[in-house]
Amino acid sequence: MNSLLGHIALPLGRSGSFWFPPQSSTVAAGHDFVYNLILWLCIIFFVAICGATAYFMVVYRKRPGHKEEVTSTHNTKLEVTWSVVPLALLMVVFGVSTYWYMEMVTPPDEEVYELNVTAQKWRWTFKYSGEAVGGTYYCKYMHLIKDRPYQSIMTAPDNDVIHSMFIPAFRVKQDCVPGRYNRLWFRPTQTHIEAGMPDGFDLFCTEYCGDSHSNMITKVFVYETEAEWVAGIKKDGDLKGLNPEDRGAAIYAQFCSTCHSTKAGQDMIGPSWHGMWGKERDLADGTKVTYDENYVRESVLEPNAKIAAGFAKPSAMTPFNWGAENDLYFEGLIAYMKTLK
Amino acid sequence: MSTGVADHETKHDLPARPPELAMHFDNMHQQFHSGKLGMWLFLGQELLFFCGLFTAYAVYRGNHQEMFHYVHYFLDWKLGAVNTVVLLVSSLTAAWSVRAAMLEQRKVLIFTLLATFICAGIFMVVKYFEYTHKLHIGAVWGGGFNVADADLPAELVAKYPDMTGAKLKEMGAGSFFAIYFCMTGLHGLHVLVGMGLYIWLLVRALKGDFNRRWYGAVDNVALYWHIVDIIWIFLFPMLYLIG
Amino acid sequence: MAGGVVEKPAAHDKPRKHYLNHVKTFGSWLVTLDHKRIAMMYLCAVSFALLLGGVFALALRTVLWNGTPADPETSILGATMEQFYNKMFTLHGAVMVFLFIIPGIPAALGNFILPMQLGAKDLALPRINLLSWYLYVMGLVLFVCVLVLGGLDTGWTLYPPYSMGGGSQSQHVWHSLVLAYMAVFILGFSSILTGLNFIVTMHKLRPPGMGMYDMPLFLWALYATSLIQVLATPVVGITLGLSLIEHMFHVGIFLPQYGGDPVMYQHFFWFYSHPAVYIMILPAMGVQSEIMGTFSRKHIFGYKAIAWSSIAIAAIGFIVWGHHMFVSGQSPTAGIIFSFLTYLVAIPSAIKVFNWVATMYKGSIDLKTPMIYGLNFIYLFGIGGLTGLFLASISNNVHLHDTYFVIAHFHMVMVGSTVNAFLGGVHLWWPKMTGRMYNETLGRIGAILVFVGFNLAFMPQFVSGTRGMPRRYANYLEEFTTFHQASTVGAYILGAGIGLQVLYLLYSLFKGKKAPDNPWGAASLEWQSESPPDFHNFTKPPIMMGAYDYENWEYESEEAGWKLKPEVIETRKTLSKVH
Repeated sequence: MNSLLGHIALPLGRSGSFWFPPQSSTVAAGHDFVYNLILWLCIIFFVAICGATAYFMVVYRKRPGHKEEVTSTHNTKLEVTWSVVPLALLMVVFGVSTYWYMEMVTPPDEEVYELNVTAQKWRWTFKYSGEAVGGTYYCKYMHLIKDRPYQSIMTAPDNDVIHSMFIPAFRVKQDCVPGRYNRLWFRPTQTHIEAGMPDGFDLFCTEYCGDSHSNMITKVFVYETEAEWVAGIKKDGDLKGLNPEDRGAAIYAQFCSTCHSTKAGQDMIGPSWHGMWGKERDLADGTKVTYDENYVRESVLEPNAKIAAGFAKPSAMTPFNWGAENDLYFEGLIAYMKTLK
Repeated sequence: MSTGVADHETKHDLPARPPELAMHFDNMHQQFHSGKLGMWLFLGQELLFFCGLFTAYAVYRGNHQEMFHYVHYFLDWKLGAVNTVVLLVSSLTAAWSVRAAMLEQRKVLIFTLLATFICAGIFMVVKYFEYTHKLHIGAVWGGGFNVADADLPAELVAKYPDMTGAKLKEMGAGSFFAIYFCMTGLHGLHVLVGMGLYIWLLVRALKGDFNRRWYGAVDNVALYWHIVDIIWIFLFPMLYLIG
Repeated sequence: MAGGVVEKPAAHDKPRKHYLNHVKTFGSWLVTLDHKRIAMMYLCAVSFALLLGGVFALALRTVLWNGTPADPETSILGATMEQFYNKMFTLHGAVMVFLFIIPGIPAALGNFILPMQLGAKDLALPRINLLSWYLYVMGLVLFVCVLVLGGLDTGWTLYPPYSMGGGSQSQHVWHSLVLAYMAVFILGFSSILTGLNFIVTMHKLRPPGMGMYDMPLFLWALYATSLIQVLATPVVGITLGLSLIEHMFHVGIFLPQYGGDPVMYQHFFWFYSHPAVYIMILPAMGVQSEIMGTFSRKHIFGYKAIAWSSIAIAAIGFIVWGHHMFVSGQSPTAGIIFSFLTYLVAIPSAIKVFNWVATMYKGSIDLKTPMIYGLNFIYLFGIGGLTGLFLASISNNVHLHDTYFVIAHFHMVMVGSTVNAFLGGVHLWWPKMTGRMYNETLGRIGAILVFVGFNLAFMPQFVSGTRGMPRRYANYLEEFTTFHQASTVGAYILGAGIGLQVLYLLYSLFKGKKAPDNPWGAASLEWQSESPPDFHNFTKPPIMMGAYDYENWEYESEEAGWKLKPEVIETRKTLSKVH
């Protein structure tokens, strides 16, 4: 039932078939099977309809000497046939499609690794913890091990907006709704290298979430072994091993860079960080504040407390709180800010 | 120009048209029933309009069963019952006014229209007192819900002595009042529109505009008034009575 | 109608009085209760909306020519590239949906044609019709205010919490949103009143001797549309009313941080907006039925099946809204039920297509401009409808949801079918409405340009969609570049096709040939009036006959058009005789 087109690798794209990215999860093949089933049914009906239309258009075209004939205005047998046959076919399609959907939404009985996904304007945070990784890591990429099942527990902060996580190579998608926890199960079947995507699988936000919606994309890495996986997480999410400046730069890249620039005078959604350290800053309410450790800490934890002059009130920024890791994070951020002169 | 039969028919062959008959209708019967069908369809959309709120009510009730139980003590069922009776009486007078218009009983018509208007007015006055009391004690929507413990309804305190305003706020009492104010507010708006319509009918009745041929306006406004009533008949138990 | 404009001796002396010129003052248009004048005002307004929405579409396609994230320093009209794009797609969607496509066919073409196809003098409730028009104007003005205030970037679906700023918003967006909620609320009531009026008219002003099954199929389609308008639109009314209250007072209905539920908004919104999709497509199917019969010169095949399939679509359309929310966190059971119901809608749609094709069988197919649109319709609706099957499949929908596949699918239906039928209907009834003929050659070129441009714009999007291109992206990965650039070229060709039509249609108003009463040989009652019709629609009572009895008409000449055969005139009763 594989589509003919399915075997033509498109020169435009990277890997995968004409229609789809590579099949890299357990449900991808089923999804593509349903797609091809419907595709062929559609092609048959479409060719029949357009073929008949084109044939009539030519044979019965208005021309001298040709006159329309009066034919019957209805034909119950014919009409019942062309209602019941498509209905029966559609019920088959519905059955097959639903079967595969149940596969998609039913997690396996074995132990499933739970992965916390938080979507925020405009970044993804994947939280890894537990014995295997030894500690808690906040990563900007998704790290997985081949052939293991994962359950993502997905949400967005209360004061944020709805996002949606879409991994085309896995054929899965689920919304991250503020104040709710949605679940999404999947099991990768090949590594990104095997799939021909050395830069990682794409992960998109597919629920419109504002200015940087189209930049809210990240990568999924699938590893062969647990050791590679742990190494990947640590490289992505471990901040302890870095010196404060580099740690700050990494935190900036993950959490802050969508809204704050580090170039002089380049204000984006938030003010630029360049050359601000230690200076007086004008606030929206007309008062002034010194740009110091306290101000930075307060602004991160409570963005609305002091808003810089010329920026939206209430603040567009969602508050950050890394809990027990706060000191580590602030030390890094402050050290990094001091370097931006 | 041989169009046969059509040529022989001109307007003056037709029976005289009553002054109330619009040019695109054939007769009064057709005109009356067009208006009435239009009104019924309008009432259909009114129901769907309120359905959105009823659904929201059901969803929130399902999500916060306990809170709905505590908070319904804030609503005084006696005032609600008074308003229910007032509206039922007004429905009677509204129906009566249609009969009076059909029978050309001018005095009865004016009296019943006035009575309907007054009942609507009483309803709104009672609502005004209910609303101001809630606003006064801070029993309002969303995050604005802040009721001092002293202001909690006596019945609630009697049954659950350790209940506090802060606890209710925590449970999301603001959602209940969001729904309460939206539902009764929208209903109240409909009552106000109805009062405006009854004033309009009253003026026309005083001018003697209605007669046995033409009383569609009285009939249609009465239909509208009945739906406003029926919605209240649902709102009253849902908000005031179910615990 | 033997006779008509050309043969009247008086016609040479002074112009015939008709609905356009019987009173000429501007004020007479403002307070007119005449359904034809209100329809013409609607036609101008919705065409304006179509062009406005089209300009937004071209703007956003232009931004998408280049996929790399723009340098934050580049700005268009004081906004970054992304902000500009987001406003453009929001306004494109909102203007097209609320101002063009929902009122388009019913309020402009339907308003004009419906009473005439019943042989009536007006809609049953002319004042309600005028009110509905002014509500539409208010909605239009509010939307223009939104535009002037700096636009909106919420998406036409206005999903909270994003639409309400997710807790943060600049002041002008706050105001824009208030205006947008009010605009959509008001436009909703305009739509409800039009639907209500149509239903009453079809029930009460249908002449004796004309049963429901004697009505042209366009009217059945409008009937089904009106049912949806009356029963679904109030729900979006209350939803936007609640949104407005939530937005202004934070009462906690839809916003999670105040205890509300954003997913409930989606349920409410799609409870209207899915049926609204059928408000958009059903009238188009009605126009299509008229075109296919007329230009094949064949009685429409399977009348009752087409008529009832409209009602079936309307009815099932009410219970499929959940298929917009398969990935929102809705329970899988609910998802499967919605998927099943969605498949059921496919059947009545398919029945219609089969019947249209069967109508052509052994006909005499005249490829006039409206018929080219009719054929476009079969092809594009074929693709649009069939790709709906992929989206109805719940397992495929998970992958395809919110990708370009969805964009391509609904544009195939909304633009490929509805806009095609709208243009087809405008060309079909243009001679009746304005009394002028447009240039046939330019008409055909326009129709073909629309077809070519449209296909080029949307066919590539199916493939980029299945390959994972998400919708509403201001920039994209490099691998999607070819698809996007093809779309952009297609969009410009489509724009050129529509622009060409505006030009030659306007030209025809001044320089076009005088239209005969029945230039196509169509058989429904409106073609027995003069072109353009008299203020009272029919100067002589129309002769009762089937809406698809084309054999009653014979071709005379290009100037005189088609005439009723003399034996028909002698043997049939006129409308007033039936009374």
